[in-house]
Amino acid sequence: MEDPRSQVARLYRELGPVVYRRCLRLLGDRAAAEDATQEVFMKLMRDMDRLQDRETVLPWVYRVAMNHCLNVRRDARRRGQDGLAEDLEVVPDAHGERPDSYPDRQLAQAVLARFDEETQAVAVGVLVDGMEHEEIAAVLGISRRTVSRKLVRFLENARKFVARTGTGEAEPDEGAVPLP
Amino acid sequence: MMHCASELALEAYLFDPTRSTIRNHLESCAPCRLRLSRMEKEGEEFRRFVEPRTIDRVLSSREPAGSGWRRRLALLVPAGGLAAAAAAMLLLSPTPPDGYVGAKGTALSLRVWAGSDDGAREVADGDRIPADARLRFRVASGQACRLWLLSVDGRGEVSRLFPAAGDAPATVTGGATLPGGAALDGQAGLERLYAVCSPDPIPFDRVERSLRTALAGDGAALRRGPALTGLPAGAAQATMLVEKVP
Repeated sequence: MEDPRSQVARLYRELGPVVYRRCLRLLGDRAAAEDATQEVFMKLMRDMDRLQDRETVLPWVYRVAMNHCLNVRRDARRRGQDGLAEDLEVVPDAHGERPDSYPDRQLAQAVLARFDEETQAVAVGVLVDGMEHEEIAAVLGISRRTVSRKLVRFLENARKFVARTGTGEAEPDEGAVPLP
Repeated sequence: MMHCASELALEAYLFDPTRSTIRNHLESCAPCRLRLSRMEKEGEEFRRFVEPRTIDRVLSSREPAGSGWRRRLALLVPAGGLAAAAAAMLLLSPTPPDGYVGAKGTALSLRVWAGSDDGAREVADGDRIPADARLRFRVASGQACRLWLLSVDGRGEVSRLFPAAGDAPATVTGGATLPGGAALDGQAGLERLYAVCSPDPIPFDRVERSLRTALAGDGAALRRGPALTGLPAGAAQATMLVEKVP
């Protein structure tokens, strides 16, 4: 029988790259991604049974890593820290169009940190990672309808915010955009 | 319009290609293949650099307080009762994996003697020896180099054997019987010794990380004795397995 330390080491080796890639993509900084990776994995280890369930582990790992790193981004932005990538690298379409040609995606990047965790995850999943609504719904454990509703609200509020500020940049001490 | 696969779909492919639903898509989608290639490189980056730097913290987060799993084998100074028995030189240079960086012509040998009240005998790779045996070591290198000797047991516990103190590896020229020795910890099970000798000094932490990386996640690796990777060019290594029995 595998001893607990070997078990953790094996799982870290197998799933660590998933976490690291997610964090690298969302944080855009290798040192920050490295820190985040170990912190995420320590969170994941609180539920070892789930961590070993190959049928369900991947979406769960993906969601925990995404939520953690979005929080890191949000916290860094609130503290005015530099170093993390401002822009998220978005999934291209299959015909090679530049992803930044999509206004909604640019919008998402500009105002992302101003929304709650789940809405951020929906926006990143659909607008940045190129996930289908069903796919992000399954990852987050919410309905497809909720995904659609949150996305619509996100875009509406984001547009209002950009129209108000002109740049999409957060103003110091300004509260988050109120959701309807 | 054909949509690219999501990040999660690509992760699922890397996790288990046989069950992936995007295999056909990948065949016809160059951008996705490019992303997949980059993800594989990032995975390799994790395994080569991130994992060695972070595995200790991750593992220690599972340990009860005060039960850190580093340990030291007791150093005997000197282990005079262990006369070196004449025997054929044991040369144990593990086969390097693809991509391993090593200098041609360099070689390192490691010989081990196990002592007890009944005398001493030279140990062959894989030998069974008393779990509390006292060990002596002899190394020989084809060139002057800086040596670390360390071991790891079946629980993943790493012991620094020689030099036992200080920040710098010992200088070895030709063949040398190492002063002192080591006493095994009395715990039954496998123990693998690694000698690493490089033209320039390597920090011990780097060697230890290489060792942990080589063994992590592979229960059979300790018995197999994989070569340590990620060491500087020119670093030679030798390894030997012993089985500690009550």
